[in-house]
Amino acid sequence: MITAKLVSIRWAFLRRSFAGALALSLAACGGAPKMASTAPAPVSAPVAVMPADLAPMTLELEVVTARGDLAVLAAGDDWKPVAAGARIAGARELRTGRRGAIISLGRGDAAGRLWLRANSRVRLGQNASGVHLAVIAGEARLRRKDAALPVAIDGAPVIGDLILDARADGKTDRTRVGARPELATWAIALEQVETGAGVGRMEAQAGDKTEPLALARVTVRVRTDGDMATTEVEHVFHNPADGAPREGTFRFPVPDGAMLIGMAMEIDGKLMEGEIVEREKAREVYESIVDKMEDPALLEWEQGNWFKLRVFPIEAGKDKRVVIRYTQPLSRGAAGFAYDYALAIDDAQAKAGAAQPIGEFALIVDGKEVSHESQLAGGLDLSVPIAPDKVPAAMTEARADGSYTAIRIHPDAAMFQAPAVSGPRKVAVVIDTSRSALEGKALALTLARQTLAELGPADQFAVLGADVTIAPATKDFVPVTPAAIDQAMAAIAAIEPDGASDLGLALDAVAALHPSEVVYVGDGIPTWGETGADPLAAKALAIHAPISAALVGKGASSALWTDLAGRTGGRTQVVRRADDAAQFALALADAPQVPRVVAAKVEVAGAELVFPTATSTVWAGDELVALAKTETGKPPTEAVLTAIVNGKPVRQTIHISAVAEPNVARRWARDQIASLEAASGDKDTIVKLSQDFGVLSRYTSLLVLENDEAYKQHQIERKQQELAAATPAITGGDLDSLGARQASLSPDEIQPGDPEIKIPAPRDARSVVVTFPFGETKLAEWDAEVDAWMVRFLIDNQTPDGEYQARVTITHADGRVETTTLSYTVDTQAPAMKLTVTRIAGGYAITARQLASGGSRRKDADRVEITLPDGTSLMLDQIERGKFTGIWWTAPVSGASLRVVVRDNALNQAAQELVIQ
Amino acid sequence: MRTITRLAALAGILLSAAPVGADTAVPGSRLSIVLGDREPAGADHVSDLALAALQTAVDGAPGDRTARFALVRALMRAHKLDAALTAAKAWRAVDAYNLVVVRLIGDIQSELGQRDLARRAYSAVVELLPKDASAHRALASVLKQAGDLQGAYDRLIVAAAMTKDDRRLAFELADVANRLGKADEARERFAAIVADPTTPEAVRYPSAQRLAQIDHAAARAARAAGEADRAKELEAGLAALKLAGGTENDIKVYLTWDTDRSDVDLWVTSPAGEKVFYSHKNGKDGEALYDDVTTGYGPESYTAPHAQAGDYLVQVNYYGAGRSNFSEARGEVVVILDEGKATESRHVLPYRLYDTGQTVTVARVHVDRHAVALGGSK
Repeated sequence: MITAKLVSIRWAFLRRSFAGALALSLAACGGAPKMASTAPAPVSAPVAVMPADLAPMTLELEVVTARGDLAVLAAGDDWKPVAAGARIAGARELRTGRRGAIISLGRGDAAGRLWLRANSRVRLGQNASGVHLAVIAGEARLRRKDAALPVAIDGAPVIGDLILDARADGKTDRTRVGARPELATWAIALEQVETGAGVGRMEAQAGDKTEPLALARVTVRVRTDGDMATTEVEHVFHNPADGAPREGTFRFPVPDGAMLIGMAMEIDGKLMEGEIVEREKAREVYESIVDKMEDPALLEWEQGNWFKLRVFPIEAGKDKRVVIRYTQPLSRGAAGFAYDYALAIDDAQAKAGAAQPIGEFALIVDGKEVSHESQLAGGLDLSVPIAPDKVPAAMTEARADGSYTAIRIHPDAAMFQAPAVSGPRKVAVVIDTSRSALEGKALALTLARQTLAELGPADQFAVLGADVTIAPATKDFVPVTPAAIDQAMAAIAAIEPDGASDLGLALDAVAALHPSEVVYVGDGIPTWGETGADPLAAKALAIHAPISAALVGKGASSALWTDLAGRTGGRTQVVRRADDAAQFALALADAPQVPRVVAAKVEVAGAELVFPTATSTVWAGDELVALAKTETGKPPTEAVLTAIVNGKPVRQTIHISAVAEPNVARRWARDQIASLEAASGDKDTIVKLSQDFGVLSRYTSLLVLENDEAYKQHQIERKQQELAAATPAITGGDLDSLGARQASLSPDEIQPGDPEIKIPAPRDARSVVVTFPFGETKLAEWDAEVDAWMVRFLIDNQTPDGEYQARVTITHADGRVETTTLSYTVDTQAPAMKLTVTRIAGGYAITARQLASGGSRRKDADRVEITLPDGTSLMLDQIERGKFTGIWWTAPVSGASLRVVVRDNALNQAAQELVIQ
Repeated sequence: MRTITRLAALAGILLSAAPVGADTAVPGSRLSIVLGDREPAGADHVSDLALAALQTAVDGAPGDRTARFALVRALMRAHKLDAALTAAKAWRAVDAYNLVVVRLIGDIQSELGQRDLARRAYSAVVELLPKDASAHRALASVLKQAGDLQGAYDRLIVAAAMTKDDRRLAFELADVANRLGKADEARERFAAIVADPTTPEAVRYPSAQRLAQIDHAAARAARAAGEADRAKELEAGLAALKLAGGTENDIKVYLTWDTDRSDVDLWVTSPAGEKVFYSHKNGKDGEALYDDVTTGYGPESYTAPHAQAGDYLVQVNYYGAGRSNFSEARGEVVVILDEGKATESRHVLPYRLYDTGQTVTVARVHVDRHAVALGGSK
């Protein structure tokens, strides 16, 4: 009984989330993983917008790097695997598997360089106008210099460094890397030998040697709450050795930006939750217990984002289970929010001496299994889209000590500073040569070199070494040439790091050069001369140029430079690895062209402390998240964003309607701890915050003892255990642990069609019956592939728009009967929008507001896209339900006609024309 | 007793700190000072054989800090400064964050006259420990010795902000402010130390002495300017301090040192051969030692209200060290002659002691029976 119309609806769903049958059941968390690890990108040919006269590539492609499976479609219809170093003639399509690849388009990147993300697919071809490219699944990055052979996307020539995303309509979304350098993280990672966080390693002592223990099982459970995700990684290591128990050292890399919030270890078959304990006390207790040959574990920060845990004993022939828990913000990609999980287990273990596969790997996001692999080798790169409506504009969490609110702020168009006038850049680079620069010297030089190499041939640069004295490495500004860069870097390399850091002196020296931009590379801590934040800010403002800072070194602090960069319209990044350095250099490459909000500051009425306390730069396409603490039960209702545009203050009022979500207080506490640590705040206060909110600090460690009595004996309060119990469980989706039934019907706002319902009832249930509002009853069937009961039903074309409820009845094996209800909305009305255009400096601010239509006041539009006269697209940002804004940066274009396409959650779509007056 | 300092190369650097190598006498005073040694006599006698043995020890155990320290120190004592610098840098190359070698490199560069390089090397101490008050304080001590009073003041300001309750540090800061000519600031700082009821007596008393010196000078100036009321007010304040011996003394000596883990003692021996020190604190002519500090930094102070004719020997003895294997003691002796009088003169004398048990004679104070005539010389 499936009509042609229904099939087409189903197809639309599939194109939206292309991992096949998994798509609908995953849509509750926003859709299927963009890079499903279980299968390569679809082999059937999705639609792509390409010229009709397109021929296979005559330019030869070269595979620079292939981290996972890479296949090419050239002559014939057969996909052929290709490896790094291969040269490919006549290519029509490329696709990747679990991990990505780097391709040179023509010898020496004649037409540019292409990075393919895991499970992506790209169509290529050439005609008389040049190379044409379309991303038809997943994501890619294309980097092209001015002189490269022409490449067009969606028929329009492109230049620069772009992130490309596949779209449901066959077109390709484009985002400049300079505006959102974090979007290129996966591409940069492909160039590194060792990347990827997400799983730990265990090494055990065997005689005089240490050897890695095999990971028998890794289960990653993720729960998303608002714009945050809590990840719990359960590792099961196996000790194959005979004989005596061994001592192990477990190391775990926490992803950048993540907060480590918990750790548990199995002792005598029971998972014991670690407690946050003042560091010295934790060590004392640990040492005293080790002496007694009992079972403690102590997790401490080791370096960078790595934590280290000593484990004893690991019994011979037995498994050891260690659970690590962290929270992190969801990534904000060009296509919206996503949960990213990258794993480079092969590379990581290769360094440890043995590349062993993980026996069994599973990733479960919000109760839905996204990936399940056996004998996983070669790592993977997953990105699970999260539906926009799961991420409210404001989130709040009430505690006895206050209400904590996170406010996502999208500045109005009027807040943006227009892109700088184009022309040669004069970039002054200050490189820290003080004694603290010793360890980070190589990375600092690499970063400076990469940053300078990104400048154009007409640009100029100057380099200064700075400690208690200033050592110019160039004579004033010099043209950007490889030789000049080599010479400047050699001069800095020749300086033996010594002395303290007189940053005031450095800023004065830079001011004397009158640069158009400033880059600081160092640990960021003033230790000599002027050290006060305000006097240094005054010196920074006197330069009259954006200041960006790459903070390098073990003790690097961003506290000062975040403020200096925020006040001047620059960018700050803590650089720990080569890929961070590459990201910083990319951001700087495009910086002058990217609109930004300068000196952004948030004030929240009634809040006692708001983070960020420093000023910020907000780049076009990005958002600012403010964290406020108010009186318990009184979350804020209004915030004010202030900024400076062309030297004049501007302000924007934001009305707040916060939704209750967990982890907000933790985010606030993390910022408060960081602030106190940067200011050498009181240690006892920091320890208390760390323990009260369950966030590790530099003064605390996580200690696991073997039983509750041991904690009691050492007078350690079981706060973490209480917090863990109070936090919503991260679940694999079994019915018992779900409590309230969480059957899912997705998308829950739908057009007529044949949607599917997933019911996570136990496998041995006698029956699962769904009763629909029209009186129809359907029997669900067990689906082993998704580990749940599934039923599909028909919503025919005559079904009126509105909200409906289905009833689910589960009869358990023991005869017990449970019921739950399931709501869904039928929607066949395309959204109507009111469009307004305002001329601003450097472009037009475009606002779209959804109008009530068809008797409905629902604001369900989820996408507004504008086709610009040059064929490129502008995606408006959703700043509240039913309201979208964006800026079209262009010279005045009176009379231009723009095509605006609006889509709602049920995929209803409407087009409008917008004429610029 | 006049000694040509081995550290003559430092003369330029130390110009503001110590009037090197000259007997000084103020016209109208019967007291004069002859500068002594900065470090114990004979410390520079190191044989080539001994140096070779130390080098062999380092080669045999490159990670042995004690051996490294001994070699660098011996080369410095033997005035082989270039070799000492090479040895120190070789040590730092394998022990990058060791503050002892950082300081040694600064010392050597100072002695080589490389003032900017020395300052850069010394400043690394606070680069590596920016939030450690004791690091800033130790660096202040080194900078003081190198004649960089402003640099020392800056470090002490930072250290004082970190440890607001450390009254000895507050004393040191007030003292440096005073020496920089910041009399108002110094007065305010000394007065705050004196007024604080939690200040230990060992710090309160010398602070009161310093405060009295400043106020006494101010009262004298007020009287000279005909401001009788102001002078009276200041004198009333001085009386309230209840200082034994008042504010006018023939000889006053202060001793400070640079770490909190060492015990350095001040010995002053009168012309009659009576040594006033920690176990004999009061001399028969009213001399007094205040206070014996055994845990570091000082200050200890000596007062001779009525100096007897003849020579007073001012010596520093290194009694004991704390935990460090490399501890040496260095600091300053401040000698004030004719305290509170129109003929008052001050002499700042840096010293350095390498090992416990060592003694250095930093000055001899000569007391005539009669004052030197105005316009004359000793």
